[in-house]
Amino acid sequence: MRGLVIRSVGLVMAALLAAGIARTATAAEPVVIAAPLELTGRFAAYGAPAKRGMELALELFGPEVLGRPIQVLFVDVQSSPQATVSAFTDLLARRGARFVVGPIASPIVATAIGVAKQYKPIWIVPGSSTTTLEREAGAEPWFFHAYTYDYHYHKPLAAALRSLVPQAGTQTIGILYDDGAYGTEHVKYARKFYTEAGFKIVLEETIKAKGTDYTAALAKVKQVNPDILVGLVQTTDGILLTKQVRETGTRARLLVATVYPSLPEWRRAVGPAGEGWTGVAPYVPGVSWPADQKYPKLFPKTADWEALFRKKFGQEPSFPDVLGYEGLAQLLIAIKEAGSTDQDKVMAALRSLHLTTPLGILQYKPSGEGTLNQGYDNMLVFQVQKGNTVVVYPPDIATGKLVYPIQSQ
Amino acid sequence: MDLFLQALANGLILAGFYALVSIGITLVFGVARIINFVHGEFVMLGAYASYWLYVLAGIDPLLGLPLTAAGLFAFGAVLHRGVVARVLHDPHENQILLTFGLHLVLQNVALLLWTTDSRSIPVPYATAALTLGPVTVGLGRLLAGAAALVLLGLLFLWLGYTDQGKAMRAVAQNETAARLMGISPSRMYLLAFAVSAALGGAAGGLSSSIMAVTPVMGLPFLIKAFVVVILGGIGHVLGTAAGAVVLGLTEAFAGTYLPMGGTWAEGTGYLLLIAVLALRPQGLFGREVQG
Repeated sequence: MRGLVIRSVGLVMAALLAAGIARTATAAEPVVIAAPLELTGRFAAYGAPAKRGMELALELFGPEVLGRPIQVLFVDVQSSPQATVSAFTDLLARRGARFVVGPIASPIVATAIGVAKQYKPIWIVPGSSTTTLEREAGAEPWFFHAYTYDYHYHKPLAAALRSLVPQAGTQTIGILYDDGAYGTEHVKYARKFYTEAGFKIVLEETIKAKGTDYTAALAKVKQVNPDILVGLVQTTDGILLTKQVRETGTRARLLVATVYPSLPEWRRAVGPAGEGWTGVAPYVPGVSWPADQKYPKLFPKTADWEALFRKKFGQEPSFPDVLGYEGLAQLLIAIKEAGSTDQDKVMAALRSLHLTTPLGILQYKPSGEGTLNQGYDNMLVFQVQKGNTVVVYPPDIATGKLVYPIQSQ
Repeated sequence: MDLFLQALANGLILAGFYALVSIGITLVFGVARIINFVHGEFVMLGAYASYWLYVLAGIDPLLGLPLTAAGLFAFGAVLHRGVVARVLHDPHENQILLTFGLHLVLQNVALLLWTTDSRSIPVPYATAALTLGPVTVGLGRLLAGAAALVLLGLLFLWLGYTDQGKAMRAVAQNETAARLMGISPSRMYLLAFAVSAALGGAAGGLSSSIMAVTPVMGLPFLIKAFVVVILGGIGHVLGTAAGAVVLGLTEAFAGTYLPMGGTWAEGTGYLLLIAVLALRPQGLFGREVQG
């Protein structure tokens, strides 16, 4: 009898000990999320704000999910392809991360595809608009594209111009595009959607990416004198183009860009020369999306979210801030809804999300062009008016009207 | 005809700017026989100096040009005394490696200090259009071109008519003979390097309101400057000015008249460079040296 009691007590104690150890191990085990970002180097203007956004998301979500601490591994990929491959390999192979959010810039994301395909983590890319990404990774079930592709820029722009520009006479368009990957990819979609919208393209001309002078191309524009001038370049070239449009006296009725007029650095650099430029972006400060019904704390009314951001960082958010924020926030919500970190369950939870974020409605569905999990397809068309970005399209969230023709340059 | 005149005006303004960027490289090579890969960073630092003078002290980039040039002169002197002077008599490979290393270091320091954000000084005159008959030019660009010509004129006067300038030319022509005349070559090397940095800085200052200022802006200018000095004859000051005119006009006319000219403009400059290297390797104004 005594032996039986001792054996029973021993078994109970062993069981309790084992359970305790197991519980301690589970409680201590963090949910690890890798955040490889361009914190330095030429794309730091995207990666550094994205990190800020992720920090805010983490603060608002709280330190735990599923009762486990959240550990976000921020790694600087230095805007370098080699450093990106090394960082991904280290995060996925050595540190065993199963969830990845980032990086942001197209050339950097592209270099990570190979390693991601090898380890197949749940990979949320809150950036990169190149359709190369769609071709290379779009069909993978673990790849979630939480941004728009190049074609999402020009479809709403063409629709906005068709709807907002007075239709008397066929409007003509001149396109200047950089001769790098950005411009040559964008021009295909610009040509397609503007033509479909009934505009006549009277000039397509390349300008040098990272160029120092665009006056020759603008002399050609002046010869053709299109109603609308479209500049498909990246931010630094956008600054030079904007200044030279003004200084060469190029007088289009409307100046249209891609995303760069929404960036504070462009506005600061060009000053009054930026007045009247129209652009397209997933987000501009002041956009009026309502609060998400299910997660109003993480996704309050955009104005309230902006106030939270300003309170924490003392400045207006830019769109890369929002990209980082919504990229991490949606993953944390999906893990919570999955009730597990099991990859299949989290992927299913991501696919069933329907969130109203500062970027609009996030809902993963096939893009129709090859991406299985495409999160957004909405973009805002805005115009710089008196130094502010005013949303002019789509009508349901417009904060002002398009000025056309713009003031004489 | 209107387009031709516009291209001519664009090319000449571009040429003035290219000349100012390039002349420093020629000066340093002519005097100290160093191929200076850090010169593009002088342009970048000059642009940032002007930018911060404007942002922090409200100084107009044109009015602040003497300050910018003086700052870069001092920086160039320190860089020469501390680093470059150590390889003056080393093989060219060592000099190239050192100056290329300095280019990388300065570029990355700028990235750390000022991030990759593109900046530019939004002074109204920089984007004002000036129309003269069929030709329209940017007032900022015109002022930059004019300031470049003034600075180049001052450089020519200094080299031609001052004792220091003559001493520098003497060192460029024959270091031993100059030394026998009591000239200190090492002082002239330092002076050439510092003046070169000041000219590069001035070019950067002039660009700070008409272009985007970034930590990586130096390299495109460095490449253009090498094309210019090779076209004109490396080490030849007048040849560099001529090379700048040739490159500026070639780019402007190619950009204006060729389809997809924005892409071809630079390419035609390089084709011209290859042609000159093949047919007249000493450049337009350089002299052939028998080995």
